[in-house]
Amino acid sequence: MSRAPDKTNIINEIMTAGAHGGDPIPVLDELTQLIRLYSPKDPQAPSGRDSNLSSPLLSKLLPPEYNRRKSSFQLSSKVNDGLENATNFIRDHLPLGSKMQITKSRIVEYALELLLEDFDEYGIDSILAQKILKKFQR
Amino acid sequence: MIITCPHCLKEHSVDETRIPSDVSRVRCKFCKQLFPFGEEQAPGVKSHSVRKIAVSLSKGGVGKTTTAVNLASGLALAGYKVLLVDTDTQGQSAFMLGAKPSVGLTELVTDELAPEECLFQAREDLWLLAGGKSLAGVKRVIDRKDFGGEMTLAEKLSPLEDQFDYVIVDTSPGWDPLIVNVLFYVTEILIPVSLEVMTLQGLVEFLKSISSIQKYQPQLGLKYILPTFLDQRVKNTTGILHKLEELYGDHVCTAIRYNVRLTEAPAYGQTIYEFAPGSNGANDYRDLVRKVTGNQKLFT
Repeated sequence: MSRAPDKTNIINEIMTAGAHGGDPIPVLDELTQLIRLYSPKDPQAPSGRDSNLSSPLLSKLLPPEYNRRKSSFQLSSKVNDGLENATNFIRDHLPLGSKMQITKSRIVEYALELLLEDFDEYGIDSILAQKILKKFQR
Repeated sequence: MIITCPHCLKEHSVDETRIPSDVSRVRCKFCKQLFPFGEEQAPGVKSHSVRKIAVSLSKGGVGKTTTAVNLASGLALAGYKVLLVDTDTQGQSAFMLGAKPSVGLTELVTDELAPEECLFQAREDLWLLAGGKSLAGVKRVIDRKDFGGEMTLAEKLSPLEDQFDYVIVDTSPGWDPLIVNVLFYVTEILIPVSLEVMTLQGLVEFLKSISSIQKYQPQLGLKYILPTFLDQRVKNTTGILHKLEELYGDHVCTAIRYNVRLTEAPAYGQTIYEFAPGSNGANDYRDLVRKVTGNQKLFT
């Protein structure tokens, strides 16, 4: 049971003083820092990529990895299933807060990046070119 | 009383007056195992003690009422006897449950009716003490007292609480004498935190307010931080969630994901478990119920 009320108006004290009794409040400083970090006025605040991209001019000025376009491609169900499995597998190996950062789009982006780098370096001997040639050259 | 089966850890809420005096063993309805009861109580058999939890934060729009209603109804679904107390002048807990009680908390505090007459049974095992505009009358009752006004709510709710396993109190946004009363009554606080800077600002202020109450009510503890409106597409939310987990550790519950079903359910007067039992919202609130009861086997 709480402390027996004495003959002072506790509510008045709490409502008017607003003081917290002088005792240190755990994690208050950390929370205040967190607020500063995510406040839009703070130059350190992580900038929202989406808001930057809302302007066509800004999207041209941004580095290429921020400049994304939606594309549609037909994928076989085997590749689709593999993509789904890879997404879930990689997410399982990531810490809680980062899990949802890994999306199918991101995996496709990384995979294509790897293949195209290989293609730029080896040309006709690259994995991509060899796979296509093997499939269509009889 | 609550009896926990030592075999499957399922908790059963039992009316002790209906148990014959010569019973020494009982069978779990869930796993069908027998275990000792009565004089030779197993360690799992707990005597009754009500848990009083306030769902509170001075910032508005963070999901207080949604959380209070879905936590209370989830606990009731799990077999606990639950009293949901709405101390908000908006009185939306009743609306969310599709109920239209004509009496509520005001009548209890102003002694217009007997305590039992003020209760409204909203669902099986779930009772509601409704709020609404009339709560202005409660605030007047508190204001009129020269001293001891902070205990007004506690004095009126205490005679009722023995019938329940949980009392969940939904509060209004802001900081007023009624919220002070709630914090003098409950022993645990659940703070819904929508993952945005404005809410963090509200959280800091609210922590200071809690601290001012703890000076007089030391057993009051911040027990749960419930992240709400988690939207993985919004970059900052995961950063804030991470930091909260770092700062508060086990006190942080599984986040409630942004879910359109949660916003639709009230219009139908249904809880999320009734409206969209398979939705993310329902699953996230089931997780909260497991966390609050400490029973991971609930709803499995």
